[in-house]
Amino acid sequence: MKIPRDIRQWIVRVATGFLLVVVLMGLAAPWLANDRPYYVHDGSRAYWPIFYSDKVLITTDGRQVVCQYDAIMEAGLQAVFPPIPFSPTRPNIHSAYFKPPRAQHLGRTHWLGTDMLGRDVLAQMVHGSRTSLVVGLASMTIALFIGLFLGLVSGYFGNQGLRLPGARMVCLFLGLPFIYYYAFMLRQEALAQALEKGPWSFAWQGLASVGIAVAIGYAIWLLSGRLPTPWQGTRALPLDNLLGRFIEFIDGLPLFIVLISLSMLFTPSLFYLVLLIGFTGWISIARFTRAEVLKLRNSDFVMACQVMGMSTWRIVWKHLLPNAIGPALVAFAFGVGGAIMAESSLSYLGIGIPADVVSWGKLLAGARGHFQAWWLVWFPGMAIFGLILSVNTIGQHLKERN
Amino acid sequence: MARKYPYFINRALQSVLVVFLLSVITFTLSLRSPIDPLAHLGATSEADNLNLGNRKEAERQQQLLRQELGLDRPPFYLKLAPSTLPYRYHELPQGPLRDLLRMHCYQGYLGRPLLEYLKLLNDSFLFSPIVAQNQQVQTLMLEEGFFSSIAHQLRVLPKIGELLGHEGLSNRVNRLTLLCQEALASKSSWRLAIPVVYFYPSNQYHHWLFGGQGRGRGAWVGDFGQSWSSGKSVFGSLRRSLPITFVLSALSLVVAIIGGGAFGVVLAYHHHRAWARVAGGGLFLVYTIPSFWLATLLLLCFANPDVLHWFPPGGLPFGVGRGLGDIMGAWPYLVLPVASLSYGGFCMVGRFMRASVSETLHEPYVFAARAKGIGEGRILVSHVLPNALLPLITIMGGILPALFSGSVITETIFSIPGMGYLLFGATLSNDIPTVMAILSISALLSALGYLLCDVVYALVDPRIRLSKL
Repeated sequence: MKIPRDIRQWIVRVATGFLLVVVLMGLAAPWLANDRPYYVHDGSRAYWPIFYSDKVLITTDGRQVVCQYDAIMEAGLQAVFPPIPFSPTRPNIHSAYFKPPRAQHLGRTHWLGTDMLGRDVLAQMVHGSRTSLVVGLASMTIALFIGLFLGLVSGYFGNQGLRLPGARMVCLFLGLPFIYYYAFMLRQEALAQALEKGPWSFAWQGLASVGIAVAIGYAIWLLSGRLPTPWQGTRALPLDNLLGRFIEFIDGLPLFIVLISLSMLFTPSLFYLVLLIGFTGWISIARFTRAEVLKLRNSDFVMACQVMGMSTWRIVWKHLLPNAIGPALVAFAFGVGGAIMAESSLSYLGIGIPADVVSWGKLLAGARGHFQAWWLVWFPGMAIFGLILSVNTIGQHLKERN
Repeated sequence: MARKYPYFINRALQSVLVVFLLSVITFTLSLRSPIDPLAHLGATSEADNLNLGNRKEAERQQQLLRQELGLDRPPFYLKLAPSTLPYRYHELPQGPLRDLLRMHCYQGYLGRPLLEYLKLLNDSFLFSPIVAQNQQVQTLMLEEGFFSSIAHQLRVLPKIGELLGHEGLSNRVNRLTLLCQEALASKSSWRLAIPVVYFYPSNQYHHWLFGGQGRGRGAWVGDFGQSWSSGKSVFGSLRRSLPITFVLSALSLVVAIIGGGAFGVVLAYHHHRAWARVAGGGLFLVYTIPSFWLATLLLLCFANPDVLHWFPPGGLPFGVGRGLGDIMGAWPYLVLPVASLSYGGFCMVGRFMRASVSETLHEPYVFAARAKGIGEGRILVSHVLPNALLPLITIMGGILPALFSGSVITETIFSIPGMGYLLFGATLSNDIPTVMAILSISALLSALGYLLCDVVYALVDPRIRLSKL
């Protein structure tokens, strides 16, 4: 793009600033938009409801006041509210489809209007930024790990680089079902119980399973090295071809349709959504990393490392990864944009997102069949568009700088 | 020429493999999902409203229906299991008893005596009218946790025998107790340490793919069974909706490639002009617009009686997708959907062509052509375009899956009864057969698109063909 340099810098600055604002908004969402007050004073005692989860305040004169804007105002208590004193999820039948800016009773203003259930649009926008950011960043972090690993391995070893004794390869291949059986199938009752007990317990049990798997794999590795082989010499493992075929496999799929179908099969939750997008979004990261590593593999500094007798792990981790991560980060940035797009599309269709999660796509879906509510089209739409655009602009900037 | 065919055959086999793998993965996942097929087939009645005996009878009917439909069979050809799990575990109907069998096999009890005991328990005891209608026995079973372990059952069975002693069932209870003791006695931990791989020639995936067991003729000839939500054949609804999606996709493809390509060439040719630069930035901008937002905005602006009422807000007149004349007649209905479906491809092709043409314009042979005094138009058409168009074929493959994906959103917003709309409806009503059908067909078509692109590319550019061999 032949835009003058200073204008380009300015554009990138605006994009970064917008992203920063959205991130801060997401981080501070419960303190920015909430109908629980920061501070309440009943004449003799102060309360800080926003820091506690109590649903009801008991004042010194024995009254019970629900911790909501309306109730506190009616009780006549002194209170300080967040700048947007609305909950994003609490419906209010008296305020459906309010046009912005319109004031409600007791001095609250819906600056961006309300949706069909009377929930404030601005509060939902503030809280919805969390969903977009969490899905975009978390899923792409998963994808980054997968893509970097596969790209590094297949780029560095290629089709000929990883040579194993034939017996070891056969043993490892035959050992895979055993590894799965001993590490996961025999322990699935324990894993299921741990999942019920909580995420930490599940993490420990999962780690134990992975440990068993690694141990069995290592044992097979050690033992199979000593087996007498019917084959002479070593065989190369065609890692590059395998990855190439796998990438072609995923690339040939209409991913959004796969995403919709799979998210129907699971119970709707953000966790599954993140996993699904993460496991399908690593393609371009792996591809770029692989291409970069291919370029670097025959460069002088890598050869010097090899000649010095450095271990493969050390070469890949300390020397190749820092040099090859640039294109991967570009792909990461564009991937975040794609993940946010996928999330908002799915939540627009109402598939795969639990009912209690606030999201921009869902907000926009509220305008379907009710186009008089232009504020439900413009504000969330602009937010999604702006976020994706700023992420992509940063990606483009990274790409040009590389 | 002779070596060309192995490459194409290789690619074709690969795309078949893609569809096969995808169908295996999604089919296995769909079996594990919490969605119950019988609930959709209308077999579950309001069990809570029935009395005890009838409720048990309804449960029994469901078991039989499950077995009849093959829903009790193993999910796939191969099954990795501990050697204690019996090969014929699926003769026990799905439910608490099968879960018990599995649990005990994983604890090291031998499966065969267990299976014998549990089958007898299920077939001739649990649903026999005397047991099923006896309120006391049922409460006893619930209170004592009859379905929580076999050891519990051994303790509860004599009590049930006492309760039923005068009703002439004691023989059966005694036999069950004996079998249960035998099953509990046969525990061998070392058999648990041996995994086995079972092969099932008759399994659910097989019958989904090749038919039989109440599954019609199988997915491989297009018989995807009945829709769970409407009860009609999935093939029929696909036959009605696929042509509509085809028309939309084909129109969008034409707009994207011809329009976007021409736009890109113009931008590349005038790359030093300010307006071309701005338009180039505009392509980047428009490309990032979410499609559902753009579609909504189009509706808001051009199908809104308050603003501009140029086009209908959605739907299609009956009969589009049958012939060309209907498409011409229905053009007002198609403008907005095609616009919202094609802008992504338009921008992508435009940006791609701009980059590719401006790169080619700096090639030495273009300078040479200019130096020879050939006219600008001729240079563009016969020297630049053929070379710049070549890489466009590679990204054509990716457009088809993107169009299918985009059609879900576009068709949903404009309520066009195509494949995407069908998928949307099927997803909301948990209609797994329709979803599986659409997934398989769209994957197959995408794979075919890729295959076609590769073949065309290899035909046009012999370097590819030779390097890949």
